[in-house]
Amino acid sequence: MDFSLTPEQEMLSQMFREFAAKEVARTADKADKEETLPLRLLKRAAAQGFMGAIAPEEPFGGAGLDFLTFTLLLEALATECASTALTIHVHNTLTLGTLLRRGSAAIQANLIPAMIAGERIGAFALTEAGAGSDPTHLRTTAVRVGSEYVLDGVKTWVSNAAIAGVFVIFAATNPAAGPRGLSAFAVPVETAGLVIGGREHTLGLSAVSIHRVYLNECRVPADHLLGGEGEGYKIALETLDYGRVGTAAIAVGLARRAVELGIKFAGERVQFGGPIGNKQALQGYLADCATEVAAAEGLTRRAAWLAAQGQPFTQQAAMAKLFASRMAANVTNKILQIHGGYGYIMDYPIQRYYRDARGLEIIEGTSQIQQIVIASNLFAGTNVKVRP
Amino acid sequence: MRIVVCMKQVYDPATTRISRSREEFDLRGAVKITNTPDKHALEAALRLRAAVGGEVIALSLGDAEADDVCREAIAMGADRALLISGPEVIGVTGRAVARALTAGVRYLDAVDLVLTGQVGLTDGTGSLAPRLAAELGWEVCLDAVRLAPMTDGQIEVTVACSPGVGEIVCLALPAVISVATGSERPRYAHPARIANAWAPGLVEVCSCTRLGLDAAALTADVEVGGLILPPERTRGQTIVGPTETAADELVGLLRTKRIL
Amino acid sequence: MGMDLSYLEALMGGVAAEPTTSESAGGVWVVGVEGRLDDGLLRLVGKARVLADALGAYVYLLTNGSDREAAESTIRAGADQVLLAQGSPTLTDLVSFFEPRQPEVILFPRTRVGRILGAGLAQRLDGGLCGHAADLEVDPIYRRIVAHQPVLDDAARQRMTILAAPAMAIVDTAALPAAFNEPWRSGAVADAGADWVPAAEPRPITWPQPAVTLANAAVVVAGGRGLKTVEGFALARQLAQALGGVAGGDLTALDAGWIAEEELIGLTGARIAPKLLLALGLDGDTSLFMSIQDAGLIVAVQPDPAAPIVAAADYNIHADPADFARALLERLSRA
Ligand SMILES: Cc1cc2nc3c(=O)[nH]c(=O)nc-3n(C[C@H](O)[C@H](O)[C@H](O)COP(=O)(O)OP(=O)(O)OC[C@H]3O[C@@H](n4cnc5c(N)ncnc54)[C@H](O)[C@@H]3O)c2cc1C
Repeated sequence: MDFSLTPEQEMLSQMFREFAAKEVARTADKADKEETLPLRLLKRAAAQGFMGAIAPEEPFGGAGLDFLTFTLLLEALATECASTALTIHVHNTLTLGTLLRRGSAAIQANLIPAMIAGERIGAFALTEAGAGSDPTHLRTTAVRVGSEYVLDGVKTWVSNAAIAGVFVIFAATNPAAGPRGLSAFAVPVETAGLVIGGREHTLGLSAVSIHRVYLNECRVPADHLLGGEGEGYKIALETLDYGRVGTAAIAVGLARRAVELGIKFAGERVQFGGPIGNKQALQGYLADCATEVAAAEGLTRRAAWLAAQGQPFTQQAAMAKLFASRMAANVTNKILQIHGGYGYIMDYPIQRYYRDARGLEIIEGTSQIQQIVIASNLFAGTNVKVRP
Repeated sequence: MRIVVCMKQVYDPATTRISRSREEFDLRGAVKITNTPDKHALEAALRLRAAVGGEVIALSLGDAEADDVCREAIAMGADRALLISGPEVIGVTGRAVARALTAGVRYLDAVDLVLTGQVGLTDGTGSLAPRLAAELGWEVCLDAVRLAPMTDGQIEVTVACSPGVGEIVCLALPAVISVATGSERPRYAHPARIANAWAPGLVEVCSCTRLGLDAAALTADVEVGGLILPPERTRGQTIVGPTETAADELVGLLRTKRIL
Repeated sequence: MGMDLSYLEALMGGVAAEPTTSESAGGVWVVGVEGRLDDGLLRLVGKARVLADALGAYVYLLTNGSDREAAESTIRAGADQVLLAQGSPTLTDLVSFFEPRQPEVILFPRTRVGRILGAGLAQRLDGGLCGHAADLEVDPIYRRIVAHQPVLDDAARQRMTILAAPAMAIVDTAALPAAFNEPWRSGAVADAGADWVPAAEPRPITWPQPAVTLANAAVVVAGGRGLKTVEGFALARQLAQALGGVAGGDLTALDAGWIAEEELIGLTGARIAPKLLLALGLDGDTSLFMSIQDAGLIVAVQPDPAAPIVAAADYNIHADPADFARALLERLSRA
């Protein structure tokens, strides 16, 4: 039993924090207000290897981080800006990760080097207007015509859409077969028939560009199919397992900074003749918050470690995501309360953390969906049926 | 060109506190980091190497933990590192540090240029470069913001004197140069290089004895004592009196505080 | 090292003997070899005087920045003997100058030349060195020099007892008290007997500097509601100019239309870290306080002693801000 990071992980983590403090911190507020991430930041991230963080060094020239170390990157980025962290998370965990696991050799050779270089940002299009928590019945279809698939339909809630160079798109190749009839495709942005639609203006995570994506008889070569036909749902689930751990790491980083903001404000704001931090009630509040962050960190590290070890981690991923995202919403809410009225105006950074945290309870499976995943494991082998 | 960069481990000033009651550093929670000014020196060395080729070697002196500094230097781009370590170097003072590092430079052999940071964070004085130059008998230059190699065994150094104003001097190699923190920002360690920084053979650890230094060479030239603390900041004082005299008093105050 | 009793005798009413070169073993030396004699060097001579008095030693100044006439000022500042040299010494020159003289203490000003020669000389003479001293004293028991070295950006100073001889220090002369100017002091001016080669002139160069903004200004004059009118606020701008700083304001100044968005100090605006923040008619609130946390000296001019800024400021002047600004401007223009 050893909780410590390796020297390499320590040095990487220190570098991540340095990068976040020097490059991300100063862009965060502006990015939030203007609802866009500066492209220069993503270029810098690419130069630092972050856009190929989980790609192996051989043969692609990625940074080759193990998954636990990668979550340390997300944590560090989210400390300053959850939007930046989410953008890099969707690029790496959901898109690059899927191509690495399931892409054909041709697809990998075509797309992965450009993804690592940050020239093609990744996006992951699963959700549809009628398929959110339940992505088993997609209305987007993919029909095999000769050596191509023709994709048709509307994807919603596609993070990174406007800056993306490659999309992982889920569609029904056999609509009658439900989840077993789904397939996943890698679709480069230049593919004819792929059209970026309108933008969602979100409460938080505002610098992430979230759009609808239209597939108007969008033709892709057959080798752009990821895995096999009918494996789409399996691919989505296995990818989301990693995704959930990543989201949990973002929640931990974000909440940790929120606690720091709370400590700072409590020391600065004077009422009743002294800093409000002198009040035991607020000290208790902050102690609770710090404890919750530490607990979420523990769950998240363990899930990430299992993933990095190649052991089953679906249950731990769901637990980490459920607990950490809730924790982040809870902690930012409490810290906002410590700020009083100042927490409720747009001047102080805590409001951004509060808004950003809330989104983490929804993305990559709502808390309710995580509970279903967890419960289905709890009741496995009993007579109780867990169904969504 | 063979460039040696002297790099040391320091307590991060951001995490180093001062205990008023004990009049000494309070190092609980203090984190050791690579002296950031030394990273500027390394950055300058890496740029020189990119321009003219050669080798960049990090040279450090300290306890076993200073291995971190060597690994970080390699992760940033240094080719290898020499760490002078052992019980005899613990707590050595400036004169002995310069002697040991000089022995290190001689041991590394055929060195063209030694770079140092401008100053050690927390409690440095910026005397290493001239001390080394004196030991080695080489030319020296302080506070360089830019280094440009020239063909005839010389190096052109731009030195910052005050904000926006500087001088250009030419030094004959071999030379010792301290690099100002106003120079190019040091790069981040790269993940791929971090992964390889612990590969065997990159950091050579060497004792003073192996470098031919005896205990007499390492005796202390100074003894570090307690801290002298400025009076605690007292807020809320009042400068009394009518406007005119208060203005006089403020001018006097600003003069003593050297703001005017 | 015994006490130099002749010095004590001189103190007790004897006649101070003019030191001659032959007597110059030991002694507290100041080395100013940058071709100029400035106030910093005079202050350093003063500090050497204080040390020499405690040690019972003579003060020697080795300089290439003075003629016989100007050397008088260094005698009034505390030097017993001034040794005039021509040209600029290399480290080797200094080593051969000092080796036969066996100085007890050698002080250099903390200039680039002083840092190079001082540290180099210490190394060559096997001396003990404090490379950055803000002050110096003599340990009366062991008769050793104790330097005060700034640490953590001068948040404190560390005592450094110099063990090896000669005891050397590179001294930040700006931190020293004003130079002595005592006409009754006597001393001798002599030729150093050193024939140094003039130094090569470096090529000067300039480069553009980032503009001074609220965020990086050394002096900020901040105005608020208490300045009452736009004319009142104009005084803050004039003061900022007179102090070589930048003007800014709080939300009340912004609301009054006295300042532009970019001039706002606060969490929505700029965070500042000046050496001096002069707050004119500012009440102060949490947003302001959080953005001025790194300010050095805070001086508030505020007629209301109950305003929150009063507790946050180092010094308060309870006066009408505009009246005070006028009075201060007038004094600054006189100076
Ligand atoms: C910021 C952001 C970024 C996103 N990025 C992407 C992206 O890049 N790619 C992508 O494909 N999608 C993305 N999404 C979509 C996201 O995955 C869905 O919003 C999420 O899965 C929930 O789906 P829904 O919004 O349709 O809610 P619904 O599924 O309609 O759920 C509504 C409510 O009902 C609850 N509910 C639903 N079913 C059950 C059940 N069986 N039992 C109990 N409660 C239930 C839910 O928990 C929720 O509270 C993003 C969403 C957000 C907010």
